[in-house]
Amino acid sequence: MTTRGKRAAETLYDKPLSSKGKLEVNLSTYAFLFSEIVQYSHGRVTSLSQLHEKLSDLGKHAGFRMIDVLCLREKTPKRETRLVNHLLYIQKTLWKTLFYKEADRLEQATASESTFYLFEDDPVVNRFISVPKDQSSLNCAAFVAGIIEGFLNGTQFACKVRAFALKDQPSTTAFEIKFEDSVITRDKMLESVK
Amino acid sequence: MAAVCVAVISKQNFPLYLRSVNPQNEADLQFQYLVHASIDVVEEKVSTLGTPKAGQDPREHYLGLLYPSEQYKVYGYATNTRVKFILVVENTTSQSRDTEMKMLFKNLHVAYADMLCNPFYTPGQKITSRTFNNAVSSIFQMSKGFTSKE
Repeated sequence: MTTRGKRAAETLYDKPLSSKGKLEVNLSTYAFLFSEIVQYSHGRVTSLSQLHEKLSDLGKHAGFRMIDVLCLREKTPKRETRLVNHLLYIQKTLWKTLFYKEADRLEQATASESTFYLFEDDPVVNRFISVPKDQSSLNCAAFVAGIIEGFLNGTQFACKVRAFALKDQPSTTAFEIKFEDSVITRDKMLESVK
Repeated sequence: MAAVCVAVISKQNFPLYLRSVNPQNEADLQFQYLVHASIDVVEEKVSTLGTPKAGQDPREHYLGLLYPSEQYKVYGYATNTRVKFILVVENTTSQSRDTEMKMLFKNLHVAYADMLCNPFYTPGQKITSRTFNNAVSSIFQMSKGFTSKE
């Protein structure tokens, strides 16, 4: 009885109509489109690094266009100037808009103050992609890295972003964000002003 | 306060869009000068290293009145991508309210964001979109409505 009740609660008819809330994109449609993007890019490159670059370039277009749309949806729009605040904005707001969840962790590298890592335990872009053994360094989250890079570069934070899977946890993807020195210098100056 | 000219300026300070309310008018060239002169003031306000004035958030998009001239008042707005919007309005005796200006700029920003999301538009190109043009026309109309209310 209980199982039946539970099953009934899971049907589509019991869910509230989501017309008022956020409009979610069908996952299979999305996965299909993304797989086509990867196949298209894969057929036009000769090396893995070129494939990464191509995916990232596509992401940059998306990332740059996200900036104005996202800022307009804010209640009190502002031009963020501080580095850490801006990264938190990416981790929370940008990620929520793109994937309906926050990114799992944001860390600063211990060795260098210009490098940050954003961790995503199960990136939706990699969920349906099985990487061949001979191309183990391929990570299709390069597309998401491109989005981050486009977003940051568009908002005056010059940087390079790279995506790679962690060695001990292959399902987790880390995005390495390397800022240019000028950005770090500017942030320190802003720190001293306040 | 009727708006007479709308301009969009790119991050590298070249014009993306400039339109005045009646394009055949001889004063058209004058608007280019006005807008060009306003870039310096925008740059000054956007620069984050200056000491922020009390009661003003330096991160706000709306930059307020940039400078008044004899006939016109020039208002500015800067987006996160450092694309600037400039609005030239007629200099009348009636006080123009900031909330109204903010609303005009907000509409302009929405139109710009819509236009930017078109995948066939490359950021940094001249704006030729018809939808954007219509939005600007409605902004001219709307600003006229503000005068009649006062």
